[in-house]
Amino acid sequence: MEDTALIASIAQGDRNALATLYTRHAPWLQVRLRRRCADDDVVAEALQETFVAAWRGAGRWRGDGDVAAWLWGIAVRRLVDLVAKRPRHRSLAGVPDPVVASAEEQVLLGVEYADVATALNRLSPDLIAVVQATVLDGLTTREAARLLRIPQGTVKTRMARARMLLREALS
Amino acid sequence: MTGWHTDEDWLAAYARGGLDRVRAASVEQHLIGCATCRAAVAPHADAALLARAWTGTVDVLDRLRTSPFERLLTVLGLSPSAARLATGASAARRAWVVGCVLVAAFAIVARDMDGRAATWFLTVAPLAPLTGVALAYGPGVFAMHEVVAAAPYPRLRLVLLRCLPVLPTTALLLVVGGLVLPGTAGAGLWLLPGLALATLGMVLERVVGVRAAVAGLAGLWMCGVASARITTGSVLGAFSPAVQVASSVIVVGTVVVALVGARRIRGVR
Ligand SMILES: [Zn+2]
Repeated sequence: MEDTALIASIAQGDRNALATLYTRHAPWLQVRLRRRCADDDVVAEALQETFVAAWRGAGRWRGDGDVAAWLWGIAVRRLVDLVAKRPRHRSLAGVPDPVVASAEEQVLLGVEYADVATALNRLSPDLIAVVQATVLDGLTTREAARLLRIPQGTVKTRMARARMLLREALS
Repeated sequence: MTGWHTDEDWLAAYARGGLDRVRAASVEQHLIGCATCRAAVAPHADAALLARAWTGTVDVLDRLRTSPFERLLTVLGLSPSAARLATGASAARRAWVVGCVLVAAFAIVARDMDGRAATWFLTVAPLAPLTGVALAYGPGVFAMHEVVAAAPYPRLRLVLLRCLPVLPTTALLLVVGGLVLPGTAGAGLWLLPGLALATLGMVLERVVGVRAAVAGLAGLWMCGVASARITTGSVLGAFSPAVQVASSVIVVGTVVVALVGARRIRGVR
């Protein structure tokens, strides 16, 4: 069954359709969330809240757009809220610095870095975290600030700095 | 996405957090649009964590309360999903039920004052099914409207389901009419014009939108009552046999057209 048909069934109260949607989407959502938060409890809670929200919000699904993107949009915002709620919570797992990535891995993957990739990987972790939250995860400045636990102004200045560095590296 | 898919080694490295940011980002961009690679990354997920989150999800869903009316409909034989469609109470509908109860209560209280309570009741009561159906069904106030637009749920069946909650209040108005108006026959006078207005509302909703349909029909009805009062000296003129026959024709005609249309759609599919 297509994802959109599943959503329509869920809107009509079909638990089996929700179970199918979960089997199909929860694994990759978990992997992606786990790259943004090291705490398994928080990831599990974010997943749970995502599918409860999908159950409740299926009726507002307009039938356009992609179900995967919709679910990720919910999931990353649930994660933002949960991370913001836990004051002394371990910070984001982040992605290991390329320098830390093992030589074995580099050989295994055997990928040539394009200019853009090199430039992006040269950014400091602080800057890359902002780029990831705003550009890749599609969060607003406010949401990115809550996820990264920094002021909104800092998000803006770091984004501006990242842009400038990228422009310099690519020119 | 056809042809290119993320390399299995990349997916494995991505899942255990080993891929650098740039390649991780390109994997994520691809995953959003590719069901094949989403399925390929699934074995790398933490099965215990997934099971825990699903148990939690089911627990929360079980705790989400079902309304008494929804439970009653299930007991009466409707499937749970149909019962959920029929209820799905909105704040606007609750306000409507309160409004109907107030109309009825006012009619009973004013009964002993003079004959005007009865005529006032007759004027307003036919509008109750119209606004009730519109609130139960129209877009803007009805969250399910978008689902219906997206899902192939039989429209007529949905309309009938959504009108179920209107029945108890309509029955209440009938009972109150019986108390207020002389003779039991008088109590039902408003029923046929009321149903005709409601069905016309459903038809016009598709053309001009729910707000314009309700406002237009309500305005027309009030004008009709006013002119009946001027020409015949009583609002009862708006409930003459001719009006009752015309109302029956509208109700029966609309239902027949809807049934034929539904069958033709099913035939085409
Ligand atoms: Zn793919």
